[in-house]
Amino acid sequence: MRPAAAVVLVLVALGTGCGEAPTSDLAAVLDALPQEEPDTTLVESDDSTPTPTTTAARRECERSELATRSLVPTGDELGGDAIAAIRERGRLRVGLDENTLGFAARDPRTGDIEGFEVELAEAIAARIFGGDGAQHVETVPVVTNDKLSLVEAGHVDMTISANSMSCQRWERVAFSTEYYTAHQQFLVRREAAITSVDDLARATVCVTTNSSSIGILEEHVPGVIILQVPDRTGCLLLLQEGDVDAYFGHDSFLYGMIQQDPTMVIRDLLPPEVTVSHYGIAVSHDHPELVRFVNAVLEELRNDGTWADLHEDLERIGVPAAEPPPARYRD
Amino acid sequence: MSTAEGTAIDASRSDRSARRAWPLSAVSTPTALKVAMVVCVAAVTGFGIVGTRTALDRRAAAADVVAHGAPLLVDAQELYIALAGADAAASTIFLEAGDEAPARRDRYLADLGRAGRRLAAIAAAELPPRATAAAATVAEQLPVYALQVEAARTNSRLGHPVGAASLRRASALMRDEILPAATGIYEDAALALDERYAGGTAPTGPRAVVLCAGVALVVLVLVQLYVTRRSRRWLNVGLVVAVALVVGTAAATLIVVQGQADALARSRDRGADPVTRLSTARILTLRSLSDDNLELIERGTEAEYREDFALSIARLGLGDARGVLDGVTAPTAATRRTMAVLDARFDAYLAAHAQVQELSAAGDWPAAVQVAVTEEADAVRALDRMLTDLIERFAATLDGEAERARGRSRALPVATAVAAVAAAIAVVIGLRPRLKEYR
Repeated sequence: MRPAAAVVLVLVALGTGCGEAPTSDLAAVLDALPQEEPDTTLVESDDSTPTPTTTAARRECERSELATRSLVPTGDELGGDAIAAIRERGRLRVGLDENTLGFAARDPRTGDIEGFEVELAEAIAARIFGGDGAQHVETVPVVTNDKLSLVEAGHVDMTISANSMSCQRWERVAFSTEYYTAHQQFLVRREAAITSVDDLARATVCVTTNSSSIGILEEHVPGVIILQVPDRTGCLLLLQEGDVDAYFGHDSFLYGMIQQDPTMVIRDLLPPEVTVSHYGIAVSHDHPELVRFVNAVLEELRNDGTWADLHEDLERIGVPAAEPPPARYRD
Repeated sequence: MSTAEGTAIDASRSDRSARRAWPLSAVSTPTALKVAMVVCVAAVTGFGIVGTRTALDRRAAAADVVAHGAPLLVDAQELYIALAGADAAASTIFLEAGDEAPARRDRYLADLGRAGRRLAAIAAAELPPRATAAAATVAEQLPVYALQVEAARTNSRLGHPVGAASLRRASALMRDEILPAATGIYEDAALALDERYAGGTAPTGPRAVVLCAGVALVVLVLVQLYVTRRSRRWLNVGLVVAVALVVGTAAATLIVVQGQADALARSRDRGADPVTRLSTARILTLRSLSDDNLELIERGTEAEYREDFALSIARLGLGDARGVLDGVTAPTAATRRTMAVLDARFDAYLAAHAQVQELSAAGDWPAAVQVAVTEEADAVRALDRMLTDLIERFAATLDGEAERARGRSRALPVATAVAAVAAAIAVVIGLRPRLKEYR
C-alpha cells in the first residue's frame, strides 16, 4: 500500500499545481473604454428660467417701459476702457447664431457666417478699427440658452442674436437700442390642421430652451405640450421628422426656415401685442460706454440708409417690408 | 526477491487476522475475485472516462479560442473602429465645408460597409444576451444615422444651416447610442474570450484526473495484495500492467495538459491581453479625435469635449503614465522599436491637437479647422495604422499559441481511452487464471 500512496501523493501534487496561470487585469483595461455619456440633446438650462418674483426695480422698469430704452450716445465713447481693450485685442468678440438664415448663418459651402446680424457686428467693428470690419469680428457661436451668460461672464463683448429685450433680462445685461422688431409665430407643416390656438391643445410645440416663447405659450395656449431644445434649427429638424406639431418662434427665424423647407408654412395665431419682440444687442452692464457706442453706430445705420439696405436682403427671403425701429433712450 | 518471499510468508502467517481485516475475506474466494475484477475494471474505466473527457475539454477550449473567442474580439473591435471612423469622416467632411474630398466620402462609405460586415459576423456568432441586444441596437440605429448624415450633406450642399442640426443629431446618435452599444459588444467579447482561457487553464480537470487515477491505483494495489495472499504468487502481471498504464496515462495527461495550459496562458498574456490593450487604445484615440472635431464644430462653448479628450488621453497611459498602453510588453526587438515609434506618433498627434487648441483659443477658427483636417487627422490615421499593425502581430501570437495548445492535445483523448481500455483488458486477463483455479 505504501508505494501506491506515494504515487497518489505525487500525482495529487502534480495535479494541484497544474494549469494555474496568472490572472490578467482585463477589468482595468475594459474600464478605460469610453463610457456612455448623458443625453445632451435636451439640456437643462443653466440660466435661470423666468421667475415670478417682481422687485420694485422691475415694476418701475415695466411702468416706464425701460426695457426698450437704452443709453444715449455722447460722442466720446471711443476713448472708453472697453473699446481700448477691444482695440488692444485686435478683434471684437461677438456672440452670433450660426443657423438662422437671413440673420446669422454659416454657409456650409463657404464656411462664412452671413446675415443681417453679422452685418451689424461688422459695422460696429468697422467703426472701432476703421476699414473692413469683417476682419476684426471674432464670432462665437451661441445658442439661446447661453447668449446672455456669455456676455455676463465676459466671454464675448456683445451678442447680436435675436435678444428680446425685457425688464427681467435688463437685470442681467444692458441692451442697445432696438435694431429689429419681430413677432412670434407658429411654423407648421403645410398639410397640418392647425389654424387656431384651439388646434394646439395637446399638440407638441418646440421652442428653444429658455426663450421668451415659453411664457407666452403657457399663458395663451392652454393644454399645449412644450418641448425645449437648445438650438432653433433643432426645432425645424424635429418638425420635419414629425416629432413635434409646430415650432413657436420669432418670424425672423421662420422665414429662413421656409427657405430651407418649402413644405412648411407660417401661422399667425396670437395677437401681435402678445408676440412682439424688440431685439437689442446685449452688452455687459460693466461697459455702459460700449452700450452708448453701439447706439451711436445703430443711429448712423438708421440714418444713412444702411439699415434699409440690410433689410432689403431680408425681404428677399420673405420678410415683410419695414421701417427701422425708432431709437428710444432712458436719459 | 528475498523481501518479496518474506512478505509472502508474512502474509500466510497473519492469515487469520487478514480474514478479519479484509472485507473480501468474509466471502468465498471465487466471488471475492469476481468482485475484485469488476471493481478494478470499473475504477480503470472511470479513470479512462474522466481522462478522455478532460483531454477532450482541453482540446475544445483551445480550439474555441482560435475558432470563436479571438475572431469575435477582433470583429467587435473592428466594428467600433469602423463606426467611430465613419463618424469622424462625417464630421470632418462637415468641418471642411464646401466641396468634400471624394477620398473622405469614400472612406465614410467604406467604414459604413465595414461596420455592416463586422456586425453580420458578430450577429452570426454565439453571444451573451446583453451583446445580442447591443448588436440589435447597432443594426437598428445605423441606418437612421446614415440617413441623418445624408440629410446633413444634402442640406449643406444647398447652403441650408439645418444641415448642421442634422449632423449634430447624427453625431449624438452615434456617440450616445450606437458607440456605447458597440463598446458593450467589445467588452462582452473580451470577457467571453477571457472565460474561454479560464476554462482552458482551470485546474479542475487535471485534479479530477489525479483523483480518478488515485482511486484506480488504490483499488489495483489492494486487489494485488489480496491476490498475493490468496495465490501465494508474488505479482499478477495483468494488474502490474494496469497500474503501469494508469500511472503512465495520468502522468502523460498532466504533462500534456500543463503544456497546453502554458501555451494558452502565453496566448492570453502575450496575445489576447496586448490585443485588448491596443484595441482599447485605438478606440480611445479615435474617440479623442472625435472630441476635438466636435469641439470645433460647436466652437468651444462646451468644456465637455475638452474634458473627454483629456480623459481619453490620460487613460492611454502614454510615456511613463499608467494606462492601457503601459501594460503592453514587446516580445521582440522589432516590436519594441515599433512601440517607441508609437510614442513619437502620439507626441505628433498631441502637438497637432495643441496647435488646434491654440488657434481656436486665439479665435482663428479657419486655421484651427485647417490643422484639424490635415495634420491632426493625418497624425491619427498614421497612429491608427501602427496600432492596427501591432494588433495584427499580437493577434498572430494569440492564434499561434492557442493553435499550439490544440495541437499538443490532438492525440491525448484517443490515447487515454485506448490506455484505459488496455488496462481494463489487462486486469481481466490477469485475474481470469486465478479465477479458473477455483473451478
